Amino acid sequence: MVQDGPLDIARLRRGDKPAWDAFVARFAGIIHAAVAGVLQRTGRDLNEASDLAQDVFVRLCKDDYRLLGQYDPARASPATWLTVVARSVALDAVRRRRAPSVTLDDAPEAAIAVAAIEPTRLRIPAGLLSPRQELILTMLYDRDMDPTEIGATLGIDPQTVRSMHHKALTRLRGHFAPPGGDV
Amino acid sequence: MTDIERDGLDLWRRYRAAARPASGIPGGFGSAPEPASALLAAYLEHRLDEAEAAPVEAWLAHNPDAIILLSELSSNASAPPAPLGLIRQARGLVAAPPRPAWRQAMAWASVAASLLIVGTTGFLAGHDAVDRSEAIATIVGGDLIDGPGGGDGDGAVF
Repeated sequence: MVQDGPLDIARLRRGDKPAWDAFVARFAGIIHAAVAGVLQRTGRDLNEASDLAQDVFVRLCKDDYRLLGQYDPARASPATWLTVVARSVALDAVRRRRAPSVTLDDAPEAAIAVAAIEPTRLRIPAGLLSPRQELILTMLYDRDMDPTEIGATLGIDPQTVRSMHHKALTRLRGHFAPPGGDV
Repeated sequence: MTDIERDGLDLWRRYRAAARPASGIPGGFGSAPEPASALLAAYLEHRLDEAEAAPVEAWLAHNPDAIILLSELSSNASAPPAPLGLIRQARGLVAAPPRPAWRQAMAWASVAASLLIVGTTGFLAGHDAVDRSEAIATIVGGDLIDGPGGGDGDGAVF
């Protein structure tokens, strides 16, 4: 995690100019990097990063520092929280700038047709996999991460990752096994 | 890829295809709402217990962008410095508070006092210099007329 010290929210919310300047100097790099990361992953122009980072700062001090006031030092460091906020602002901006919507009359019929629900889609029982098992399988199979990376990312032992992976596959095998067949 | 990995990938794909919710069907794969920033930040720092983490993990499982964010944060990478233009603009969002009226009055008074001192000093210095130059001129003028020795004419230069 990014190491950083406490944040004097009270001074910032009072509109203390030196405190705000210090805050900007300290976190502009983190916010800019988070925003640039989203732009890069969504194939956007990286030149927009500074404007979007500025949007993050605007949101932080808007409405009498309402968003900044939501920061809870007991839950996370300011750097982590600001990274999450910056990512969220950048994603919102990217979504807003997507291609304009097409009116229903102009849309091709195939685009608005409701897909038939296949019977198998309704056969997955709730809780077949736990959220953590789903996350581990996503990281393993969709993101090509290895158990060591996953363990470091989730803050758990790699052996626990392997164990959860194994249990998840056992459950999936049991679910998809033909009726009466071997698991 | 080993047989076990291939088998795992196949099972995972089948699960994902089967569990993906059709439009309008609540619950299931991909339908978890985005957690609040504070909750997500707490999760990223491993400060949540398993029950608190469950909704975050359900959302993360279907948001590759957030997983990358998670990996980046756990890799302990430090952010590169921000462009100076961004820092300048962001600092401009909060204005310096206006100075109190009495402080402004004091500032103007000190400017006026400085000007007065400079003016008076200049005037006095100039006046003194004129007096001195007049005295010198008188002495030198006397010498030129009478000569250095007085009025007997021995020292006359012309």
